[in-house]
Amino acid sequence: MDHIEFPVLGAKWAIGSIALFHTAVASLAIGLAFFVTVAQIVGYIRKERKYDLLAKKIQLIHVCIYNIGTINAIGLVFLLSGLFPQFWSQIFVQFYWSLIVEEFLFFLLAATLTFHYFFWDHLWGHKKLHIFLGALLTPLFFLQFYIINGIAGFMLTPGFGEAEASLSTGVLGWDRFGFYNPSFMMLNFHRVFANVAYGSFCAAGLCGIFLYFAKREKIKAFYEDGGLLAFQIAFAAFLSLPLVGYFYAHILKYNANEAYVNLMWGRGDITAGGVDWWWLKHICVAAMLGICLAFFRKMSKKQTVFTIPSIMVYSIAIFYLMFYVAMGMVMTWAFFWFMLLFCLGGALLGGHLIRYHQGSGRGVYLLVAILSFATVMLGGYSREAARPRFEDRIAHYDKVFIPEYRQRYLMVDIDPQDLPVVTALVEETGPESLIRERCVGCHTLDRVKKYPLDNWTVVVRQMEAYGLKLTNQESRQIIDHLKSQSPY
Amino acid sequence: MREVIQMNDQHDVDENSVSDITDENQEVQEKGEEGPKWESELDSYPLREAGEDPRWALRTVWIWTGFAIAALIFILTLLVLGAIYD
Repeated sequence: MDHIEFPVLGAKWAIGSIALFHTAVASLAIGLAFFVTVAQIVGYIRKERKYDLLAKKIQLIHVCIYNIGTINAIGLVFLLSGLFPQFWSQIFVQFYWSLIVEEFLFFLLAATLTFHYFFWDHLWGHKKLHIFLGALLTPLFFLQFYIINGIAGFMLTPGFGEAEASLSTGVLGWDRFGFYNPSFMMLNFHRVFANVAYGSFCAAGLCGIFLYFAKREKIKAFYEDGGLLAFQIAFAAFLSLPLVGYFYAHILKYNANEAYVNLMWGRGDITAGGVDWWWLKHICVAAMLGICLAFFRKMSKKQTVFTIPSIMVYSIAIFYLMFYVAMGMVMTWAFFWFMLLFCLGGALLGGHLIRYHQGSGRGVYLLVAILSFATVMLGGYSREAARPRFEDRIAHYDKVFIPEYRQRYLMVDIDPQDLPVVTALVEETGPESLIRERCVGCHTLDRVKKYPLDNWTVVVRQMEAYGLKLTNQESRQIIDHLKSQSPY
Repeated sequence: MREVIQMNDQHDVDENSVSDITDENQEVQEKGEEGPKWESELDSYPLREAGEDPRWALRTVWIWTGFAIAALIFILTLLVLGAIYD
């Protein structure tokens, strides 16, 4: 055996489970930090303690969540180092300085969060300073995922450098083109809004849970109004997501076509156990939209602390509809009808919950928080499941990362003199390499090899219609080679 | 001057609140029950004179805030330089 294997789960699911757990916890921490700042500012402006007190309670939960998240992140590093040493060593060297800054940001965040929570009642004479200290958490968090998104985006859309820059030119440990890759910025935007929505929906959900147990009117009012503030912030961020998601999908279509195809047509790991998990995620989103619209319609009649303009909400609701129409056109109309059905079902359920709880938002807060959690988990899974396997995606990955000064086999006591000599690989040309490089942009080579018919001219034309870019000469070479049944 | 801002009558503050559900039976029931300790904190927004804050706490937070801002600027500078140079 030449590698460590994780018992029961296996290496892939061990990494997948801990990464998903980390996504759920870390995204929550980022969202909660933003909500706490908004609640503190609202409390200060209105001189109402209830918002400040809610912010403090949420910040205590945030302290716990943050600690769990960081320990969990270390666990992820441990697992990666043991289970995928070659991959982790390579990515760590390539983005070394980025990861060092990431670690430094962990330290800044942990200390700032600790001071903010534990000095809460010591700074009532300097309230603005205290609010500012809490507000610092948000840019620090955004910077932190700005950095990790550079690496995560690189794994999806390797960009222009394709892992070479940091080992051939400039600063070792910094790959500019790899970091600022095509999907980097859209991933950032999507995560900013998604995290704010998720964190604030969860804050509202916590208020919903406490509302179920609250008996005194004053306490009920406290959670009801706090929950409403959290809901409004979350809903505003939630509404922006289809807009960002549309442009994100656009980037994927041209820069990670296989991931795009996997998502749209439910291929690869996206469909597991007979369930298309990306569809399930969108069903949750559609249901959330319906529930939130029903609740917003009810709340918009009342004057509240922070109100989103109705015209904006309903305009974006129409945009959601257009998004589903577009998805119906690209994928299948079943998708459109499913989403419409669940959105309407959500709206009916939302209306029922409000009536059942006599105007209280507790049922809505709790249900939307649960759905929000589900979308984060399902979205995280879909994103990773759609991504082409890393070693397949970057064609010459193996060539780049075997510099002679690095030990080839990690954790093996071996004399460097005994290492096999690495010779420079000759760049492949001809129809074989064309087939290998171009076809795998959207599907595996196995699919080509198993294709039973001989109508390669038609097939290659179809692929070009789907977006494959070939010159006439390249197209002719590929067709001839495939027809000749020569190996590739 | 010690500034303790008392909240107005609950009805005034929450006249537009979503939680204006009145339940007389509930109120009767509440009289016999004691609320959580922090319920009384809801009545005031306890701003105070700057000098009343403990100096050690203030000094710690100022030092940390200064360090955090400097670190933030340093990291942002690194990112800008990193976007220009390899």
